[in-house]
This record gives sequence, structure tokens and C-alpha cells, in this order.
Amino acid sequence: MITRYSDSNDAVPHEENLLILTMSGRCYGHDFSDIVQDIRDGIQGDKLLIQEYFHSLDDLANRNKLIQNSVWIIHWQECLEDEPYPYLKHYLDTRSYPNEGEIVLCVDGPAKAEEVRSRYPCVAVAPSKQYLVAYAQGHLNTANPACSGGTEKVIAWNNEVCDDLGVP
Amino acid sequence: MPNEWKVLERAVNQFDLDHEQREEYVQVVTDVYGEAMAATADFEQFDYEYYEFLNQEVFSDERVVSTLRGFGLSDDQLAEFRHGTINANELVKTWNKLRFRIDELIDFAMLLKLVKDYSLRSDTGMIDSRYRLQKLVYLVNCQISQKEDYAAVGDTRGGLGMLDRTGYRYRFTKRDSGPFSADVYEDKNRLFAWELIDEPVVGEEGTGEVGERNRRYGIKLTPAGEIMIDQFYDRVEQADSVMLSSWNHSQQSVIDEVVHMAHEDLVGTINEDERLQRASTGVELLVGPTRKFKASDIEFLNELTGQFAHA
Repeated sequence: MITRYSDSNDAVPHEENLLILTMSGRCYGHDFSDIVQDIRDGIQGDKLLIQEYFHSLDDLANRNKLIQNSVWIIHWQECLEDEPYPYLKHYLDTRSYPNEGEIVLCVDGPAKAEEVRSRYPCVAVAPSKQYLVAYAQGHLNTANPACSGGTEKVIAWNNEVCDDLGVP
Repeated sequence: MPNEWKVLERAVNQFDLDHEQREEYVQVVTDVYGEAMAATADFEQFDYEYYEFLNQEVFSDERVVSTLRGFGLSDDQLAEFRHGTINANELVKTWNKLRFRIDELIDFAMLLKLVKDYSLRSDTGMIDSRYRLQKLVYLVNCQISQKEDYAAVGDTRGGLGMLDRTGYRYRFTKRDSGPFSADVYEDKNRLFAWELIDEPVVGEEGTGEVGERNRRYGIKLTPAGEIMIDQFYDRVEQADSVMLSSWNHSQQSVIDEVVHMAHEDLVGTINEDERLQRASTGVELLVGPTRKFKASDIEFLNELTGQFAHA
């Protein structure tokens, strides 16, 4: 269970789960676990610990669990295109996720990405594996206790989630 | 959602890069950024100091500049990169402004105004069900579609009167509950998520509407919603734009017509609708204009954008 950070010492090291929502476990012709390894390889310093977390698509009503992950990587075609999961669609439509988190929709190719961007203008849309890795690294090298500004980001995200969950 | 670092990509929007070039740039600039963040970042806040850091350590980095040069961009075109003078703060602000399209903003504003105007006139101080909200919006667009569009004489438009140019941009289809728009439902949810409206349970019997089968939900402004609508209420009422004033006039007229109508009477009125009677379930009934306003049409666009950017 997440605990509140009272100062910067609490935020080091910070454990970060990359929430992955997918049926197949694969995207852009790669296993998500391999993509996460590429993401991990580009994270600077040793104060941020990255772990992938595959959440069950049968349990999307469990928002309390979902919001404890600061990066959501969502396979567009499998999870959103035909709207098979109303809860997930609702979270994105109503922006019911932490402000300080990052959501990346994985879409196949630039043309489709443009269409999805106009539907969800407030989240990142990655048309290729390279984009996905870059977007995740951009976020994780920003909200990263390796620098003082990044530590503040981590604390802000952590405590925003605690507020949401009612953690004292 | 924090977006300061996304200026890394937005900074090349000024260039006409193809997909592969943009992808390569994003990879290079993200690598340089990660290294610089760990090695030299000493700012506390993501404001001007951060943007200065991006200019000094990232945008002007030789790997970034030479990547862009490799795409055929000249030194003149890359002057802001080379000199580290990109106005990153402005790029972030511009992006915030563009988070919502103008038409989306106007729909939010008119929905809030609908809730306010209806609540002021109703005995209960609220719209008494999700069913009623859906049907109010439908009736507003129906009425607009029956108004002649004098500006379109001789023009080949869609044959829906003023609705070709103004009104809610929502698409209504026929459901068991009558005309229903998933767009209205979604925008209502957004206003709820932003705590601009509240939806108290007002009855244990549903209306048969989508999302209202087992209970009935009232819809009213929250104190934050009241404050927001007060910022632009008079601007809508006194708008110079014919399209906006025409829309507002239809909305007022529908509210007057429906506000004291009992639920059963409203159901009866809705079911008399000829479009509805002719259509089978799932069929499209009425579609609002997809694009209607230009920035110059809305005198209070900046205020409106600011309000919703912070919602």
C-alpha cells in the first residue's frame, strides 16, 4: 500500500510501477517486458526503481489499484478502440487519473495516432515503439529523485494519490 | 498532467518533419534530456529555471542540432536551437490553450448555462434526471434545426437550418429511452469529474435512461460551477455572434417549454417526435455541426479557455 512522503528522504529510492494494459502482452512486434527493459535502460541514476505491472483487464473497476501506478501504458487496439472496457474509457474521458502521472496510448502508425490524438488530446499517443520508449523515459527522467526538481515531482504524485485514496 | 518536458517535442512543430524524422528527433532529444537531468539539473521548480536549463543543456546540445541539420534544416532555421533561445514557456502555455477545441469549450459553457438557467426556473433547483438533461439538449438542437439559416441562402448546406452552423455538436441516436447522445453523457461526466456539477440521487426509481436504470440522478451546479458560469454568463447573453445568440435563444425557449413539464408528459412529448417514430433502434436521429465557431466569433474565448484549462 502506498504511504505518504513527508520529505525528500522518503522519496529515495522511489519504486515506480509501469501499469501495462494489454491482452496479448505484445505491441509493435515486441513483448511489453522487452520494451520496458528498453525504457529502464534509459533511466538515469539509481534512485528510481522501475517494474512493469500487468493489471488484469477484468479488474478495471479497481481504480484504487490503478492510480497507484504513475505511468499507464495502454494498448489502444486491444483496450480502447472498440470500447470493450467502459471503466477504462470513463477514466480517460473524465481524466480520472492522477494529474502528476503519464498515460501513453500505444497505436500502430502515425495516421492512426493522429486520429487517436484528436480523440484524447490530453494524453501521449505513441505511434511506434521508439516513441513509447521516449515518452516513458521523458516522464521517468523528469519525475525522478536524481535531481531536486524531480524529487518534488515524485512527492507531488505520491501525495496526490494518497489524498485520492484517503491515506493519512 | 505535467507537460513541461513535452516541449522537447513541441519545439519542432515549427518544422515540416516527416514521421521518421520526428521519431529520430524525439529519440535523440529524449536521450540528451535524460543525461542532462541527471548530470546538471539543479532547479527546484518547473518554471523559467527549467526552461533555461532546457535551452542551455538540451535544445542547444550538438547532438540535437546536428540531428536537425541532417534533416536539411539550415542554420538560420535552427538559430533558436543553436543559441538556446526557444520560448519554451510560451510553447507550454499555447499547448494548454489548445487542449480543448473551441467548439468543445462552447459546448461545456452552454451545458453549464443550461444547468444554471433550468435550475433557476425549476421548483427543485436542478435538472431532475439524466433523462431530462439528454432530452433538453436534443430539443435545443431540434429547435435550432428548424430555424431558417438566412446566411445560407443559395448555399449548399446540410438542410438542417441553423443547426448546420450552431448548436451542440453532439450526435443523437435512437435508444430504448428515446434520443440519446453518448457525447452528452461523456461531457456531463467530464463536468462532474471537474466538480463543476453534482449528481445527487433524487429517486429510487430509474427513468430507463442510459446510466439511470435503477436510480434517478439530479443535475445541479456545484459552488465551483456557479463561480465558473458567472464568469461568462452575461457574455453569452449579450453575445454579438448571431450563431451564439441564436443557440442561446433556442435553449431558453426549450427550458421554458419543459421546465414545469412532469416526467410522464416529457416522455410523451419526446415520443411524439417524428424523427424518433420513423427510426429503428440504433439509428442516427440528429447530428450537430462538427465545426462551427472560429476564434474570432467568441469575444470571451480567452477567459473561457482559461477557466477550463484550470478546471
